[in-house]
Amino acid sequence: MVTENNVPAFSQFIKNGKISALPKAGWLCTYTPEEIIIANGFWPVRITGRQKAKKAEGYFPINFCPFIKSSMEDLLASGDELSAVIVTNSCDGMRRFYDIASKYIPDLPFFMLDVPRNQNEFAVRYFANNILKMSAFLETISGRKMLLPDLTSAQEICNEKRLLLKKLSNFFRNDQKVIGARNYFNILITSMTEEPGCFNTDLRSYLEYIESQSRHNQETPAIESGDAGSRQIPEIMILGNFIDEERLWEIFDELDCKISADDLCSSSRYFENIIQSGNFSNIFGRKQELPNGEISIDRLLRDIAIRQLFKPQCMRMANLNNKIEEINKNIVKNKIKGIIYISQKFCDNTLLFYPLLREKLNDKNIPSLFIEIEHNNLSVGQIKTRIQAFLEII
Amino acid sequence: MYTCGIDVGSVSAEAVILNRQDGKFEIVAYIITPTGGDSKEAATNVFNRALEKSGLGASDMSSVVATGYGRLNIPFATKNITEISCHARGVVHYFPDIKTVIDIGGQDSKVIKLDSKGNPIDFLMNDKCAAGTGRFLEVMARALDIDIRDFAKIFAGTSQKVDISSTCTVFAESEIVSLIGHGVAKNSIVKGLVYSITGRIISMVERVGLEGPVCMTGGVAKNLAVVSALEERLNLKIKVPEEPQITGALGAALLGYPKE
Repeated sequence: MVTENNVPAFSQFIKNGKISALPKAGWLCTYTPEEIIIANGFWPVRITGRQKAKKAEGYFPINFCPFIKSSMEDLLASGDELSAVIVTNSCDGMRRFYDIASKYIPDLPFFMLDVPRNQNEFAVRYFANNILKMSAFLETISGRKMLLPDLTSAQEICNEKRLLLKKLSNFFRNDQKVIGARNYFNILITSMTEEPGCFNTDLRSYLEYIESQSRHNQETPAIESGDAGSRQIPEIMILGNFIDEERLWEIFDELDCKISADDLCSSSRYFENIIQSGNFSNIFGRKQELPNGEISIDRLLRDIAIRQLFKPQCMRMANLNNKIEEINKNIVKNKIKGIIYISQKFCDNTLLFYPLLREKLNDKNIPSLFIEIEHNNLSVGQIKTRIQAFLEII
Repeated sequence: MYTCGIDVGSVSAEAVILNRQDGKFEIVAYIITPTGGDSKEAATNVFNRALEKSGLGASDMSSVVATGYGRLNIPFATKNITEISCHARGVVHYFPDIKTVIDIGGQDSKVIKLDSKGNPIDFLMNDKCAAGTGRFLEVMARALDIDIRDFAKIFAGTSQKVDISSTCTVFAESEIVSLIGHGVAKNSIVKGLVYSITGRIISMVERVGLEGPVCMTGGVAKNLAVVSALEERLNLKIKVPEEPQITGALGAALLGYPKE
């Protein structure tokens, strides 16, 4: 057995992340294909709303997505570090962000990637075409054309990152106390902001270290104290939109619970569903347009479009029954006892989905807790009371 | 066998010392004091005073359970449990058949749903906003220059009410200043305020799902104007413990005993 919190935080393993000289392209939504940014010679950096909204408050109404406001603050503070920004039409907040940021930061080129809400052949074709337009936009900035080897190589980098994060996620689910919720979710955010190749190297060495520690601890029987052996730790699932609040994750570390599944825009929705070229092409049971084994940019774009549209979906997609189905599978697979649904304030997509989800969960006797938070402005005491009370109940 | 429950809230801190003998619980002593600016000091103070009142020592306590927003800052507590579980347990001690608990304290309001065995199964808390809490009433009483203890008398003796359109404490205060400026009778404003706070609570009750019998706890349960307005609008009789303010501390003391 591995003892609690005996591995250092990932931040101590970051050796290469900030040394790349590549120009940076910002992105906000996980429906943005990072492969295209990398293939066009850019370092994809997710805009995570690090800054507390101050100046940005003047650009948006009071009752507006706090994550978008903070993202605008990030751009106002350090937008000059970016060469371009890719925005998607995922929600109203994102669209308004595009309108305002592209108007008031005129020197920064913006591209609006239109992401369809359906999951069918037409949506895939439409999205693949839009991804091609996004590439053309980046080509005008880089001054060079994206070639097949660029895209193949970018895809390999992204796939490796997804595989490494999946491995990390499995480790976290199996032994949460070793990695810690705060550390785990911080690694995920780092994976979206560090230079991808360097991040992969750092995470690979971190995972090797964790595995060696785990093996060492398995060989050395730990002395269990108190009633730890008999205590039942509730297995929960966390669901929501973009959540990056260190203090919130610390609350989970402080309380006795196990996050056995997570479905956030800042967690599994980012890395799940790995592209294996050609494997996706038959997803609708139709004859492949290209001969087996032939790799082309068109085929890779189609695979990327399918990967994006069929990854664990955001609540903005048209068929919410699919989302409920996904959640149910997670509940069964991970023996989930309760769901904590966390939403940024004023997020229409997540707020409108919760009543439907709650009704379906009640039918299955799965209790759920709804928490509305304000990005970068967490009311720690109240949130901790709610989470602790929910865990006491389940 | 004695246990102590300590509830450190935003406005007041309470301690209850409980004895269990032959399967029956007896409150040996309880203390209520203002929390002030130091929750740790308030907990120590209320604990020592309760011990003094009971004639017992700290070593006589088999457990000290902390609850309330200050529960994490009490070094001598043997465990901490949220006020949601503690209020539910405290209420069931008085009224075993309760299905819905309305707890309105200084900075929080909560609606807790209980199952047939008295276990909490669902709850709602107010957001980070003073509307619908004791603080709302305190601020409004100050703006009106009326003693909050007179609210019940005014409420019962006034038929007219004005609508307080704002549910935000800060905006409601300015609205009241404006109403006073326009010469609206203070009694009508009081009635409007009580309806405003109860409106907020009722929306929480409806979201959790109203099921009787209903019990009210927390300091605001002592305000009969609020209790009457809730009874009128929910169309049912609300049970209130003899000392509603100690329900959380009592529940904490009860949860200090091992499960039978």
